[in-house]
Amino acid sequence: MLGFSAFLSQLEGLFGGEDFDLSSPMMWVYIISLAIVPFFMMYAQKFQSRVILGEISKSLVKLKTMKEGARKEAVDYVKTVIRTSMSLDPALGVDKFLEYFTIMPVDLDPTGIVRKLDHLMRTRDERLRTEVKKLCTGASEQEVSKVENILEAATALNMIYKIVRHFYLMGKRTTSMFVLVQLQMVMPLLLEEAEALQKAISAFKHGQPIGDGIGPMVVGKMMFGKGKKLVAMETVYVEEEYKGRNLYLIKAEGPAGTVGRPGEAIKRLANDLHIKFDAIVMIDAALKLEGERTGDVAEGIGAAIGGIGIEKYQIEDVATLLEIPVYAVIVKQSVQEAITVMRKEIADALDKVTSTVYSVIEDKTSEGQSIMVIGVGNTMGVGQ
Amino acid sequence: VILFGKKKETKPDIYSEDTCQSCGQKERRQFKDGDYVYGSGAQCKKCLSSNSVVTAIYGEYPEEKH
Repeated sequence: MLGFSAFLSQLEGLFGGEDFDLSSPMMWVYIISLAIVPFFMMYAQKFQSRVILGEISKSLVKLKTMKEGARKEAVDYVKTVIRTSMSLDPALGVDKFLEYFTIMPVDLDPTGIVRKLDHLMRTRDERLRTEVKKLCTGASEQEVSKVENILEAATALNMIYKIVRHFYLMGKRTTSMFVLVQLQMVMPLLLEEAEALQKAISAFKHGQPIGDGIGPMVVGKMMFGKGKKLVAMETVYVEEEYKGRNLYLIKAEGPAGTVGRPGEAIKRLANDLHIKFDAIVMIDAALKLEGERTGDVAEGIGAAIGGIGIEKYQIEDVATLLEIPVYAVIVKQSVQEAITVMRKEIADALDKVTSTVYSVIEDKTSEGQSIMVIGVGNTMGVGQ
Repeated sequence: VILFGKKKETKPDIYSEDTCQSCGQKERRQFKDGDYVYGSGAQCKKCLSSNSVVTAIYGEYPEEKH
């Protein structure tokens, strides 16, 4: 068997032929630099995994800090709104809330799934509302809605943290490069969302309007000073005349932090009260693409409403059944802007959106017709 | 911003905008807890009327230096 030096001398040609000299330090640099290639071929992925694990670990620490901060803010806020002297620690209630889950209905047979979802979400909302009321004994309705919103943001942060931690630990345990790389790729987006949720808590605590509240703000302006009637849970409407047309203005009841039930409202007005609508105009915040300006206003067709789809289904269902055209006016903003305190650019779009809504009404309908105008979004900090 | 430097987090200043229902004067002031859009605003500085309404609440971020 050949010794190492003998082996090297066999590779004389490779290392400079006649000039091959093992005593030269440059020669060793050359040998090592060549040896590094197969070494990295074997271990590069392991090194990369270590680097990625380190990066994810740093982000995980950030997420943990945010999650714990959100929990603390929720507990502190609940303490400030409790009006009665009770010995129960609100931290227990908050922790219970953070771990609350909802099991989605089976979708093997999708027929009637929206009805099931609607039932599930109502049960969830009612249960959560009862829990929050129990947690904040003696608090006003508005304070309860603030706590609900704060807890929802804290729950979302908790969920992001737990999911990231799950994949981090799974990637670490299995040393699976693919799990880690995927996690590393989505991490900046997750961190952005988590930061937005953290900022949203501050807006909710002070009852400040968020970007998503532009729809209710527009309709709130249109119905300001007029007699409001309750049409569905946490949803109000006003009937008024505009240039010979009957307008039915609908929005969630503010300034509490709620989105109301516009789907139920439209069903009630069209089916139960038999009002014949000739057009529906919806105003909502919509996600902008990168490069688009915040606060830009655009017009379109279709039900402008987010969420998991229950309200959208109900509105589309009534509109299709009764052949009512649905027009949409949207205000562009990013996900972060939609859930944090309303930016000036969005608030400045108010007059433009209002005039766009009126011009849609004038262009698409004629005198004597009935039009439903819905301001979609969270009405936190926006009255009417 | 230095290359690879960490972007400093900026907090917005929150303002409430009051519109006087008597003279139409618009005033901007710092937001205070309890303010909400279409709720009662502060006294009008021009006509001293108390018939003022909060017409907007928004956050203004300091302009970024390029």
